Amino acid sequence: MTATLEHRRGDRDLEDRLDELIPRSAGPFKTLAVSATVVGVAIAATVLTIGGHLYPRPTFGSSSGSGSNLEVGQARDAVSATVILPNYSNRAVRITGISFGGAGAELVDVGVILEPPNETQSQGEPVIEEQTTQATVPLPRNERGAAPLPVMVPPDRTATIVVWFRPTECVDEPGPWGTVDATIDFGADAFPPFSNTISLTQDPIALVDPDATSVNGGDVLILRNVDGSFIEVSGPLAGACEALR
Amino acid sequence: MMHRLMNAVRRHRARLTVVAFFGILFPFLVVAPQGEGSRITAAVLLSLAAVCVLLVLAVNLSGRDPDAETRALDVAPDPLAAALFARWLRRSKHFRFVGGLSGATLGVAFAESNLTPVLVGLLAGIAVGGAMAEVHFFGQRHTSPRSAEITLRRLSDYVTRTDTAALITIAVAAFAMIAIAVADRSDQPKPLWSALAALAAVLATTGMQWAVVVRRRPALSVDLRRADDLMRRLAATQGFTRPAIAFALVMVSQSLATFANSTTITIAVIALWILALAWYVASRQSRRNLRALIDS
Amino acid sequence: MMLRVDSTLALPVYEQIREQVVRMVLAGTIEPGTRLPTIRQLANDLQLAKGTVAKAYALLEEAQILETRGHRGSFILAPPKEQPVEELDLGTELASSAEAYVIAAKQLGVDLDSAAHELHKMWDRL
Repeated sequence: MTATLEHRRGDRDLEDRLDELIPRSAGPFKTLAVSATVVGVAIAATVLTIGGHLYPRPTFGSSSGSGSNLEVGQARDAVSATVILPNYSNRAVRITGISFGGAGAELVDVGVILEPPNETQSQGEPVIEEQTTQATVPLPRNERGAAPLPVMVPPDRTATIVVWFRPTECVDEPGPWGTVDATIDFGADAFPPFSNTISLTQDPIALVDPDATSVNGGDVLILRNVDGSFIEVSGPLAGACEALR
Repeated sequence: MMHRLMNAVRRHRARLTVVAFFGILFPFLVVAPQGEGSRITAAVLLSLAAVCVLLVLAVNLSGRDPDAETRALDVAPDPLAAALFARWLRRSKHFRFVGGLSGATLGVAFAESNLTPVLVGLLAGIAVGGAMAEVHFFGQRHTSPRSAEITLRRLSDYVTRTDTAALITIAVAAFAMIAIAVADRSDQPKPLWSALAALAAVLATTGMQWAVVVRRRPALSVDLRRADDLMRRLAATQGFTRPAIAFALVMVSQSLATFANSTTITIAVIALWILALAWYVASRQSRRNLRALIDS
Repeated sequence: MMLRVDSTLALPVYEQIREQVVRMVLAGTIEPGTRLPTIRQLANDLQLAKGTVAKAYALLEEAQILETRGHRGSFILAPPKEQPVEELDLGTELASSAEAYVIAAKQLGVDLDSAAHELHKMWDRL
């Protein structure tokens, strides 16, 4: 046997022995194909998750806002606060439940108002500002003027969640007050059948200052009366008590 | 020719990445503001940057690592061990890269206002990738005669005491946090899920360590047996245990951070992040880290 | 020390393991007090089902060659002096294995030098 063949046979023997302990590489092109597939699946899962296709995530990358204005209900038996739920995802989501947390108040009712679609800019034309009104899409309304749950929110639309509460105490405690969570899914019999509960109040409805006489660092809350007039109140509970007296 | 190109790309990947970075930055900062005529220049620069990025990515994903032999020769006690280490280094590094890239990508899906999910995804991906690199020879059955040593292999032969102590400490801390979160009946799920993730990482890592220890080894010569022992030590420590410890430390810190706001907790959270970084650095397959492990 | 099993033989694999361990104990190549691998480790190394290795260990325990001490593992015992044990005839044992090797080499048409070379190579390999 020649020296070269002996050397090659020796290399092959070594490779065979190493094969018993750790497999050989599959080759660069096959490895590239498999690796690119794995990374591609991760990218696809990420895109689907961000787009809200895998489970409801309408507010990815944004912050839902809470309204600092309160309003007395027509029946003068409750005060409402609003929070918005913008659906930035690519799928319609269905709001199936709203939960409200606020010490010293009891929840009376919840409802949803669907804002009209955004008017978007076309080439070279100025942006038309969104008109935020109480106008509704054809949804069944309750006596308070908002649609009861469940409500479908199409993509690129914003839902205004209205929570009506009645104060059980009239003294505001310092600190954050008023949280609203929404339970959402893709709809009855939709796929995948996942639901998600999201907080709509990254900022609370009111942040009562330490002196309990103002909110949000020295500001006041605006409360709109039934007759359309506005009054300034120092806190949500104190203001609600005053308005419903 | 193709192999030489791929090796060259691999060797100069840092320079190519810098070129790509400036290729992306330059058009936006310098060229584009100059107006219409510069858009072609900007497009060319962006295309060049894209080509650089894709080349570096493709070479990394193909598992090319021309430095593996050199690194292995530097740290291995003999040429046979060097050949074995080179194979392992290529395999482990490639799996960790694919795992880390996939994990970081998935982390982007949850990174709404901060980069923590991306870092968590990166660490978890590296650990999972390192573990997947060791999953081989399971479930194989042969009919030919086969042989084996009857020497007992212990977990302590392959995993360092520091890593074992870290895993035990993390498990205890995670248990404590789970107990507190359950007793507290907190509305916030995050402390519970983060602590559970840390505990799951510890359990999975320990299971994987045992799998590496008992993985098939036929009867071998003394030198190959010694090389295999060293390789299993590297695999069980650098391959996945240390990235998993880094991930678990981050999870414990996330869990701790949501319990309460106080100076003590803030200091503890920062300390945990520093420890996580230290374990990640120790998990990198540099000559220094490999040499330290082999000599210990 | 090594074990070699062949599932194509008529002798069950667990018996092959038992025989070889007994041989090594009698020859003194495994000393009393030596801890054997776990069932899982040996099963993986020999690519056998765990039950097969467990049965071999059970037979060795019955023969008082092996003692399992719970989670601490399985340890080789010194064969009890009062119990008659099979005598180990090294010459006969080796001659039997050598005969098998020589017949296989002659059937393949290999000369003595090549057969010895392969033997040396395998000795170094193990």
